[in-house]
Amino acid sequence: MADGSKSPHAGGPTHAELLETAKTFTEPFRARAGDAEKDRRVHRETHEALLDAGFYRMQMPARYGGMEMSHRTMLDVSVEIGRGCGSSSWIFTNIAAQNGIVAMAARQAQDDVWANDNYACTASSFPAKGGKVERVDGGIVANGVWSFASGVDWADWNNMQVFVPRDGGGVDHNMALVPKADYRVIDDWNSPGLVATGSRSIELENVFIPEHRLLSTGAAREGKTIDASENFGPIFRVPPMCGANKIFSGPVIGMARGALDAIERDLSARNNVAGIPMATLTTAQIRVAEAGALIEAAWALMQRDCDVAQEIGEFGRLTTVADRAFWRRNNSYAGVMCVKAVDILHPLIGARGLVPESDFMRAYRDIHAATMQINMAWDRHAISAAEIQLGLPPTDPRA
Amino acid sequence: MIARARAMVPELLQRALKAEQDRAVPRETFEMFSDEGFFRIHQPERYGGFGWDIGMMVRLGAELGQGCGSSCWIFSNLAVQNWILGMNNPEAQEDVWGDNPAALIASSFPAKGGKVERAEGGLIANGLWSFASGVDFADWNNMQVFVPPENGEGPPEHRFALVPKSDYDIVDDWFSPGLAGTGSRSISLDNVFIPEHRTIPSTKLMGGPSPGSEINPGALYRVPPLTLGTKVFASPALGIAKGGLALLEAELGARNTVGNAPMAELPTVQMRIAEAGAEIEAAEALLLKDCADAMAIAEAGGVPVIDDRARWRRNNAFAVQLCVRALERLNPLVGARGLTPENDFLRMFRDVHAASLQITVAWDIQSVNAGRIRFGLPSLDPRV
Repeated sequence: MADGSKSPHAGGPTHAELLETAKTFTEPFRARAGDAEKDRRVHRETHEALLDAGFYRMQMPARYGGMEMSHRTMLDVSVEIGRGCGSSSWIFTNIAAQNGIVAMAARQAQDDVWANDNYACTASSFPAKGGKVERVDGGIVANGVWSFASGVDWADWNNMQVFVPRDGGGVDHNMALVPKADYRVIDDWNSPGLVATGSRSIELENVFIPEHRLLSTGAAREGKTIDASENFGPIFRVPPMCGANKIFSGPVIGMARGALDAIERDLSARNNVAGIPMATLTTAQIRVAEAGALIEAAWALMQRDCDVAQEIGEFGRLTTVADRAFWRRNNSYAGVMCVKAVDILHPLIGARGLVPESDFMRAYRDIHAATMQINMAWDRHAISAAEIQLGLPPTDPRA
Repeated sequence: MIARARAMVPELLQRALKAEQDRAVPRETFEMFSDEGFFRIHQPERYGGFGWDIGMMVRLGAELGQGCGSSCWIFSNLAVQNWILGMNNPEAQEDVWGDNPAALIASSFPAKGGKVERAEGGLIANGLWSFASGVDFADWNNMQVFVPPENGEGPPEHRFALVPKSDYDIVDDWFSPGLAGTGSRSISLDNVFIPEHRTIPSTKLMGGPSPGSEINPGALYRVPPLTLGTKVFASPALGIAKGGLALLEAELGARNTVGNAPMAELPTVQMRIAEAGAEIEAAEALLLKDCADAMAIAEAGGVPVIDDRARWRRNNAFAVQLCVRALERLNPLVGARGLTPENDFLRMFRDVHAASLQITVAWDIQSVNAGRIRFGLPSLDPRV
């Protein structure tokens, strides 16, 4: 039986092996993080290291050479990478998770993406700037701008979130796959945090997207797409649309660890103006302890939820509204804890930290940007979980 | 066993007020725990125990504490001593369990000035030892003692010292506003001789091989009780917090405001309920993770380093902080209608605060020490 710690793909690596590789990336990625931020994109070497290590294929179907690893493996790997560079970890989880989402689509869509190139990468995007689709014979037609396409620099495809008008009113939320030949990248990513993700927009003009490249997220959430996808592994029963993956919280925990590393490094070797070692100050000790405990609690919570998801996937049942609401609540709460951790550490950096190359300040900026992602929005997911806790019907259409 | 603990919650909740008023866990509760083998979860198998992974204490505590924090505290405190005895000298284990493998041990600390001195072949104890949770049901007491240095110089040595109940009197001095039902009274000793083999220095209980692990080969008896074992205090706090949340979820689901709006639909209520839930789940995940990490080290034949031990204590104290914060967050939802002596939530509120005062879960102390260890400074507590 698969326990999520070993790839079902013959000869595939184990959880421990992938984690060891990830740890070798932490320091080189950290060393490049400042330049990556200036360039507003991760270095090609970073992307190639992730590609060569097979990291993007972590949740790809074994049929195409993927590993079908557990969410736990992806979480732990993203934490190690994020410790070095938050943007690099974000690129890793976003591309790797899209390979898991493409795996939810019909077999023909999977063949379209991977049959000729099983190293093909897919980014994703959201129509925050008003991209629209309309229904036509045999599919949809897309027009306008789709944003937040993290990984677009390295992607061969984009899996766009689209709202397809329904006959008689309302919309259906779908994922829609388009090859890069069909869109133009717009250089509009000028964020103060997660700068190096280069999460630019794409623009489409009258692009036809055939029906088989659409995936209904509602159907996927309820496990109704499994048969058509022909992917029956445990992780495909607990996909990202259920809140089971830690695509965003994993990198966030990594960033918080990186921030704590930077402070511990700095304070161990620094005296205050009176010549007293900073490390002997009780207030500094308490801040470092509380940040450490918050980060470990966040990580433990995410690991536990990943392990529960894996059990559900292996048992072969589908997720319930309560499973999903609590995963989402805990996921965004892990973000709350990590933000709190870096806020607690922030005063220790001192005015000397106010330089562009400070590792701590970069992690601080990145973490605050990362927690703006809607899946990390505490207010929203807190309310959704409370509705379940208090026995009310869910008000979130994606519950 | 976890399912049976869960099934006891309504009954424990029903008896919790009486436990508080009597300042003692009802005997029926004790016997119910005893019949289910709860006290034996960590006792060595050679004496009829289950020798289970330390995470079991957290899992059972998370259930029992939902009904009665004091009863849960008695469970965890008696169960942990059966684990610690499993690491003690084989001769001491035989003294306690040789004739009666169901014998139970409470523990105590010399907060009111109990003293030991060295004597030929052992120690002599005089005075009061306090906080003896479980003393009403215990046949022995494993006292924390500070043995004066042999040559009169240097710090005292911290040890555990086992005494049978015939050697002490119970002093009825437990009048706490929280965890009242634990009846954590003091014991008084008058010139009691304790043979050397019934004492064990805490330095031998830092993880890795222990005197008792020679006869109890399981990984459990190579896990450090003074650092990882502080789950004994966090587990009831976790159960209490879960119980407090469950009470309010049920109550608010059925209550309207004076303006006749359902309380459950107020976003302020929802945010409190959600955050308390997330805090409690984070505390539980953190406690179980540390248990799993400690067991993994022991199973691989490793020895935890001081950074592990300080971190486990820190995380344990932090988990209790999360539980305290969760009930503080929920407290305003009780409303003035809750201000009665029999209100279950407010008992839980008192209990979790009392639990958080136990020194190994005291955040200020454990956080400072953990911070020091992270910076490579020496530990302030010899038991870490």
